[in-house]
Amino acid sequence: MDAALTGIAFVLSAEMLLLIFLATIAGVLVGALPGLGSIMMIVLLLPYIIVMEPTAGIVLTAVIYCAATFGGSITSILINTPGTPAAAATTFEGYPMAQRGEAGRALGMAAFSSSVGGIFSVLVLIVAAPLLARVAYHFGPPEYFALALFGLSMLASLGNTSTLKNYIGGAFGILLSTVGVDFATGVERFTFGSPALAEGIHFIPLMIGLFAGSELLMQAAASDAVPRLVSKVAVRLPSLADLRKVRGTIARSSLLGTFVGILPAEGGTVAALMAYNEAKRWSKTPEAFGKGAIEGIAAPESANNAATGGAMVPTLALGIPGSATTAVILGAMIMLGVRPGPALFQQQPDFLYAIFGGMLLANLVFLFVGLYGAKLFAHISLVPKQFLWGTVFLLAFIGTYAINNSLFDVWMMVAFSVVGFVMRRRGYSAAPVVMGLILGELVEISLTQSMLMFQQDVSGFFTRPIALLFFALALLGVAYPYIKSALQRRR
Amino acid sequence: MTDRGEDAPASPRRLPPDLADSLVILAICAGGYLLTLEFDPVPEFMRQGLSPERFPQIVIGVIGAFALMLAFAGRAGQAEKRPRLRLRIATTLLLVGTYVATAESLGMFTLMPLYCALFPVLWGERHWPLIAAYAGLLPVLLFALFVVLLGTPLPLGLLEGLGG
Repeated sequence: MDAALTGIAFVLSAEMLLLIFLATIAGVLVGALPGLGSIMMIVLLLPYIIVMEPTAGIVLTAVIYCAATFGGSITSILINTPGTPAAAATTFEGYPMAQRGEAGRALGMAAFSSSVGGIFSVLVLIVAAPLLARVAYHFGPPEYFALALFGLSMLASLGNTSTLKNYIGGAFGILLSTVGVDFATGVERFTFGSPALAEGIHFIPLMIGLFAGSELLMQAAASDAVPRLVSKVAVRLPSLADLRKVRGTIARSSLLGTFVGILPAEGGTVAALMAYNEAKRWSKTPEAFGKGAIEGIAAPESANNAATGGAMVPTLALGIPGSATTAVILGAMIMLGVRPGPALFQQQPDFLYAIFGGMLLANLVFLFVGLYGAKLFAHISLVPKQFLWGTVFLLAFIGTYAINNSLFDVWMMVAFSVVGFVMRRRGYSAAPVVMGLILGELVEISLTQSMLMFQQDVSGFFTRPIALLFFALALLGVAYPYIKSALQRRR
Repeated sequence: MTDRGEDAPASPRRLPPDLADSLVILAICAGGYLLTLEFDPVPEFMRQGLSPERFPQIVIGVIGAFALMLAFAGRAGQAEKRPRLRLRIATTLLLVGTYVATAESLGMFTLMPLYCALFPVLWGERHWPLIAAYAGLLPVLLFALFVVLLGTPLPLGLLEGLGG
């Protein structure tokens, strides 16, 4: 109880309230910019976050995550361009509504349903994460090894890229995690004699390069079409009748989004598409979908924001990222010296309550921001990319250099930009690499410790029921895309 | 092996579409494996558990196995929409590379106005007053924010001394 009060008091301090408010506005703005998003913003802010007070730094990342997820809906509705992948499903009904002069109604519904979905999932996070952590408190190295493998197995479902390519990306990330001095023996691995590589590959140059740098090069290759706002942006907000009409849809989608978010590596994009399909299936007027049905906005928006809280459950309780953004947040936590997992719930509960409080506040703040400021924020999407991306590179340079005052890190960022660009053109996603890099150390350490425990006998794993359960779940995770595709073919 | 991108249009080529990827990855794996053989030996008294080269070798083996599966899979997933490679990518890389290369000696703010002027021009912008305003204002804004206000240590080069 004391911890909850301490955490909440921390969040309600004037400084934190201002930080949360500003981070929410910034998150909504960045979410509204196609090509940017929560990952990009957190990644660019990482060098500054890691010198902040740890609780404030992580609250900041969580707030940006929530706000940017909502921000993506603004451009989906107004210019038919999702600001974030999770808002792609919102274009299906949002843009037709905006075209017929109901942009205000659509934006208001997106803000309301996002806020409800987000708040619901944070409440689930508050209840579920400690329970999960209590179970995980009894984990030893074999269980952690199995858990990390389970987390990696879920790479199969990450993003819209190929399962095999996700696994290759994840394994490449694990391989990158072995660069530097071996923790057990002090032997240098893949350092090529460079002292800069002895400490391993830093998260920040890698993440900035793979996400921001590769996007810069993708934008360089893209067309120069300038998006235009819809001409009539009606100011009418959703009515009470609208809210009554969608309450069932929001309830179902919030549940679905939270559940999908909890599954490691599943995220808001999958949740939003599933919720949209469910809303259509449950609707009394499915024929209205595609022409501007308001349930078609409520469903993906409540689901994708619910997925944010859901994704934080395994991230905080087990140290296994629930989504690509939480993988980056997990990286930030590690750099701040906070190792998520069961011990965190025992040792720093006030830290967790501050995160919960920050996320709740963010969901309330963007409700008002969304209702009254969305149309204004939408204009940011009209910033010409010729100026936007030149600035993004400079921010990436400053952020990367500032960690170690090292141009080597900046060159690493540039190199990973090219690697990320080539990967994306060949159908590989950057997120599995980051997840592999984050989980790689856990995999190696827990495997090494387990083998010592079992005196080099692999069959020792079979004497650990929880580890076996996670191995079984990992197998299921690997098989899931194939089972899903077989079921889809049968339909 | 089926995969999630199998609904992509079938390629008219006879060779598996990801064969080139697969070969490149296998070559990288072979190079990586050879590098693991060059790791320094571990003193006898420290030899317990996995040796330092074993774990990377296992991971390389796993990547190699996936690469082989990729070679024989159908269309293993679609790449993001692939606009044709434009000269702009190369010129952008050349610009940022030159900028980074000169940052240490000349300072990152010294050439920033030039970078800010060239970047939009390379990307097709021709509104000269806008370019001039961008090239003039952004460096000042970033310098004021990061150097003066936040005290971020950045390579100032020729402008050393202005950072306070």
